Amino acid sequence: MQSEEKSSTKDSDWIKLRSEDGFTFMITAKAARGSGFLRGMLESGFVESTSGTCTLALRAAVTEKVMEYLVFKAQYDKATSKEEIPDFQERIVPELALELLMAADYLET
Amino acid sequence: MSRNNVRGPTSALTEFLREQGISARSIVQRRRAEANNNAEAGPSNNANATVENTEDVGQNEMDGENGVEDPVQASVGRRKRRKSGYNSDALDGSDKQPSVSKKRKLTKAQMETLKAKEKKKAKGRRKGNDSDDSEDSDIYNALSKGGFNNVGASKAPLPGTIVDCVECSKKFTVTKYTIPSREKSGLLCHVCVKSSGVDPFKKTPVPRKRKDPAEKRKVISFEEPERVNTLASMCIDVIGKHIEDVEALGDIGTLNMDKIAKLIAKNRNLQNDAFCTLSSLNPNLHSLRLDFCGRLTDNALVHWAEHLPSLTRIELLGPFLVRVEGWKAFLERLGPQLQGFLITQSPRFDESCLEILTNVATNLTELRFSEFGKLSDDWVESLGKLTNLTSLDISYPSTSLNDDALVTLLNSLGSNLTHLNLSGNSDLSDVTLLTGILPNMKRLDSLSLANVPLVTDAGLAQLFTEWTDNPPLENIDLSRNHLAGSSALEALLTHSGQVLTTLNINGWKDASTTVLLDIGKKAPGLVKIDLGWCRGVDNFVIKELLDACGNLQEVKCYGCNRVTTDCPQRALLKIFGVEGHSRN
Repeated sequence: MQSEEKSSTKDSDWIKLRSEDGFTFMITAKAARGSGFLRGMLESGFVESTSGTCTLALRAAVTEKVMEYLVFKAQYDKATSKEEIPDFQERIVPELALELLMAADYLET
Repeated sequence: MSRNNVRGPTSALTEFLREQGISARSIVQRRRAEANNNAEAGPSNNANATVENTEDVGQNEMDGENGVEDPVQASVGRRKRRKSGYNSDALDGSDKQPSVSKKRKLTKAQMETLKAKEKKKAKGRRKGNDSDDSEDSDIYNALSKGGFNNVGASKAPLPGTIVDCVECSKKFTVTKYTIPSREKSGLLCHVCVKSSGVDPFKKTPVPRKRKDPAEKRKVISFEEPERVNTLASMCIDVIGKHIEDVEALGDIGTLNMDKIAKLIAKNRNLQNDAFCTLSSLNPNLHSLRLDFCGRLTDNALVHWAEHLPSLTRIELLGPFLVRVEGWKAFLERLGPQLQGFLITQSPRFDESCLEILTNVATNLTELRFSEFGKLSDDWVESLGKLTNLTSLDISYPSTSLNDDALVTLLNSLGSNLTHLNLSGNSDLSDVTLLTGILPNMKRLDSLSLANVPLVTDAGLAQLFTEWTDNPPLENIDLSRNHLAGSSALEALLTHSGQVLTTLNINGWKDASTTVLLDIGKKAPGLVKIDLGWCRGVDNFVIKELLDACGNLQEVKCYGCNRVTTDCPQRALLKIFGVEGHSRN
């Protein structure tokens, strides 16, 4: 999760998200589509969709948690009833909850 | 296996033995059961053991452990048992065995217990194979105590021991593949087993597991429930959990606080405690309005009564959990200062609460009992005491008030009222209009009489024509009165047109285009108008409205199918319900 500058691949399988304090996160396009905001961005045909890079007005800690959720969601969203789904809620620390809530609302996750 | 069912002729002795439940099959099983003794306790155990067996097949032949040996014996015996069944040959063969002759010497009492067990066994068999197995093992244990303890061969020796073959009398070493003889009591050597045609190395088939019925059924659900909650809802849960501990949520700016409040309110996560906190933190509150406060309970209302000393107006939507005691406590304490008591949806507020309200709240000017479950004609007398009322809303009761009650009520209150809402009282008719409203109302500026289907076109026309005592109305809602039409609309516009700001004539299907065209000219101050299902409305009616009414902001014309996409439009004016717009 450390900031590492990687040029996004041409087939945009990976999306780069930059937090407001300069950290970059890589996430698969599939996981990113779990967010209504990011999905819209990817399908819009704006610069973000061609470059696969987006800057979010969120702190790195919040961005990281959002990314974590998106990956979690991508993994378990289509889970059958037999599969055990771990509890994501306990991974949300209360200190972050408010910021995360606003981020979630903004990103439509 | 099918040969199990074929029976040849039997001797008297065979018949007797069968009656007693003695058969070659049971003897073999008993012997085996003795060997297993405790290992084979129940059907499930048995199954497990067999599974274990198949896994262990590759192991050393001379494996000396009981745990491995026993299940093999069990499963092999089981297979044989099924094959022999009630085979008359086998039965005859068993007669020769000394063990059986001993068995015949069983005491009478033992015989009887045996019989009982046989019956049980038969029952169990009907129930199912599994229970059959367990019954079997019971019987064998019991028998072994009776006559067979002395028979050395009945105890299966451990692998590695050397025994005599019952067929050829040669000594051989017992292995885990050694099988007991089918006919005689004892074990067979490898050579004899082979010559008898049984493959000692044959793996026992893994018993078919009964499938879980839930698994077997294929459930096709087209709407998969969301398995993963949204991040927002999880955050709200976390915040909800820590709502007592605001510090833990970090530093919140006022702007964010507002946003968060809206987000939390959107998900309706406010607990009852929060309502109490609300009053504690805002002791000087004058006016309180809460929509969708479904979780509000007695406690909160009592708490408010004690902690909101300045409250004069309260407006609640959906406080359906509040009980009579809660209302009473609240009204007794705050009633005297209350000026507005506006409640929508309460199934519990009853006449005793009303009694307190009318006795105590003498300053009340605004009253709303909308969608009340217990509102009835009997309430009218009490309501009549509230002579300071200027605004009265008794819309959509569970059972409609009747004309007489309404006329009585308006006789006592009508002269002061500026706002009246009688919507949804479906039993009201022109009588209320002409003997209730017409003679009594002098100051009304807002009338809502929607969903009163008995009201006629002529009645409304007469009201508005003769209602000269009353100044023109600003807000009129007469929607869904399907009998109303052109003459009512004409009289209405003549009476109130000049000051009218909102007009709702939704469902006036018979209003003619000619009259509708005049709306614009006669009511130039309109801001909102609902013309839904007025079939006479067309593009020209809309055009007239737009030309004449400069302040118009909203036009609804759902169900007006003569309005097309060509109808005039204007910036900042919303026209809802044009059919052509929805078709793209």
